[in-house]
Amino acid sequence: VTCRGCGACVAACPTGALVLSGYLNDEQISAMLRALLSRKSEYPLIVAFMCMWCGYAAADNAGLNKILYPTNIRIIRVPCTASISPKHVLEAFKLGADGVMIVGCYEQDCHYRVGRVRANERVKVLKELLKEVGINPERLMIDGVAASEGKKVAELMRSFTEKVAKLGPMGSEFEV
Amino acid sequence: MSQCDESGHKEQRKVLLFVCRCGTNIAGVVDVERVVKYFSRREGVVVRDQDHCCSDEGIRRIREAIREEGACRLIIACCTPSLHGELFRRVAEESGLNKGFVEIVNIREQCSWVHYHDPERATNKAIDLIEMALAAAPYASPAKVVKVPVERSVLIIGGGVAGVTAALSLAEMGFKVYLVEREGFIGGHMAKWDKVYPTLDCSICVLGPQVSKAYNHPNIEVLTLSEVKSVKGFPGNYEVEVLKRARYVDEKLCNGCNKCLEVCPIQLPNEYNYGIGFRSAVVKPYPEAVPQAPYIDLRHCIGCYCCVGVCDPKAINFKEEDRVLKLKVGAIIVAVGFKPFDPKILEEYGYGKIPDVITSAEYERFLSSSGPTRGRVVRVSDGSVPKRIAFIQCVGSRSDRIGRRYCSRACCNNAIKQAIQTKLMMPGVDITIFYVDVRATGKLAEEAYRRAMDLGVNFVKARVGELRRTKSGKVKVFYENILTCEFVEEEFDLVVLSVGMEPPEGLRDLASMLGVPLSEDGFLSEYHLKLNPADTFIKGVYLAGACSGPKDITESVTQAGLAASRVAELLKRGEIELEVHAPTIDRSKCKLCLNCVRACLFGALKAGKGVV
Repeated sequence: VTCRGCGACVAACPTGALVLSGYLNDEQISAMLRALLSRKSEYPLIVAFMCMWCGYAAADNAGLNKILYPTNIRIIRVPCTASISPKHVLEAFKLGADGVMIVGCYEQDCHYRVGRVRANERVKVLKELLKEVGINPERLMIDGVAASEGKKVAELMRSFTEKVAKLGPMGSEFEV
Repeated sequence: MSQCDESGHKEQRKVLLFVCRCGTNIAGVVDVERVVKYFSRREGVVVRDQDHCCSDEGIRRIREAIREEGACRLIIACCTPSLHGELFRRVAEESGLNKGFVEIVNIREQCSWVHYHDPERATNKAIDLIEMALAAAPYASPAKVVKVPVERSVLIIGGGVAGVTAALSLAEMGFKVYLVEREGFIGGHMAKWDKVYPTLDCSICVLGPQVSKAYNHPNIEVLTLSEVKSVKGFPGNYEVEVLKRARYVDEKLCNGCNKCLEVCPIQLPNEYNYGIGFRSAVVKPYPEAVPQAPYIDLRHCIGCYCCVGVCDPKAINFKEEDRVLKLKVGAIIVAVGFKPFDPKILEEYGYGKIPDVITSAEYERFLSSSGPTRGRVVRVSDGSVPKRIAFIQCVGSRSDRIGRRYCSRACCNNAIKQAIQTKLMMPGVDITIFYVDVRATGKLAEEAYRRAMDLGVNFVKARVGELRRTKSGKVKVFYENILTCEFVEEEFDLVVLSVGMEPPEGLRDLASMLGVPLSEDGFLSEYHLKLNPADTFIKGVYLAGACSGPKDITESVTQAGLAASRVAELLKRGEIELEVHAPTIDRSKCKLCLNCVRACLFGALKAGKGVV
């Protein structure tokens, strides 16, 4: 009963033994990434993981207020940024995503109290890892918004798209 | 339950795809025909388009299609899942498909509404998003639902008119109500008001009996001087910690003789009257206050025990201590209201420096028979009767400069009311209302506006630039008359700033404790502005009154009734169905690394015991 359903444990499980019911599971997210990135219908193509409480809600707010933003972002809804498995972020890059954005709540507003903080830690480690393998860590970002901040989330999507476009297509780091 | 054999090949599970046009909301931008055509040749996918999936006809067609096609998965490309996700999941469940097998693809908020500048790409994005859902569909896991018993009791935070109304309504329906109020008495802002618009009805005469009824109701426990410290649990079963500060006066023993108020030698500025006049360290701001027992302000008490000496029923007890109460409730209504805007930050109005510049809330205390002047309007500087009074509207509202873009809704009507009331009391007085727009909306409000004009109240369309105190002690108003385009200087004896409403102190903390998001204006955000104004994004937590945005009494009471009925819907059956959002463990895959136990943010996972 103390479980609040954030999914932080699922993201930490190395063998995929944990499944959080009611939300997209590991296999589903992998399948979604494969389907999306095998098509690559736009450039730069950005995968956005958004928490349902703030990030996704803010994107809905942007919709409700008809705030324009670039068309190249594909949003995946997750319960909490802490539930985003590092494996999926790496998978997205491996399959050719030009950028991955994670949008959650502000640290102090997290619905699961410290979920966003946990996500920050994971992103820090992930950025180190990306550097190690030669991928520009700037291709990964995390930020927070409030559910009512449609304008801000649209601005984040716009600025991140511009930034990623400047970095060039995924893999251009490897060309000499 | 499910009509599908889940043991078979995942790829063979038939998917039913509905693409919603949403009138022109989606179809006006996204080329629905192209989307439908694109997926129509896909093996194992049945695709349909529909004008409004959420309409009665749409739902019927979804239901029929699930049965006829024997679909194992349902994908609906429509609006955001937070709008109709639950509806479609329920429809699926009723048609024999587990609701975990329903996926909503958001092609309205994420495509047509934000990419209307580029229909081609919006359509491509819609196809991408549906492709993703189709790829994920075979791997969906069924939703698990549990039935849990609920507590038939409710916590209401805030004892203003909204909280009291909701409390009475629920108590009459047979629910146990805990009404938590931060101040020493219930009644809120309305109790401070002398008359209410549009009819100039006596505020305390209509509110008093309600408040008294609530306080004495067998199903309502009123906790004054109390604050919610923590909330744990889930819909139907919350554990709440409430800090109840010591009153030092026994509410049951006190007979309301008020002798203690008279003997207390302490004199302090009276906060209840916004610092005008005095109060003692034994506090009871007005005679009709509920509860009738005063409380003792220990910070300013000198321990003379005069009050103890005069108290016949021996109700005063200095040994009383603060207590933490643990309550079990099934639902929570937030009714914490608003705070009047503090105009000190608007330096040009000189509030706090020029004594005869006061707020509309302070002015109301002057009008009140229980106020500092017993109902007489006087100048704060010298106690004389003002001959010319100015009201300045939109102070702390409709201003980008100070970050308050919203209209506070009640101030126009209130200024008109205060002007009429003053005119009736002092016919010779000259009153000018400086307005930006007169927003006298609501039943009988236009009539009140005209009555004010008939009584000779001047309405001047102007933004006031500055207020200055003259040598003779009057207040000079500098304004631009927007209709005549003239800059004017005019002297008044008293200037009333019609202040707007702000989110109350501590709302942000309360919001994060409850997990309810705030809107851009800093008030709590409702589930849906139009159709679910009393719901929040958290099932089990509801809203009443001005805490979700400026409201007048009528609107607060209306919303309080809705909040009460929403709570009753949730709790009446004694048990509710909740979807399980907890992880399950596949023991064959688990290597006992215990990463999950360390990752858990709440200590819900325990090694050895399995999960939850």
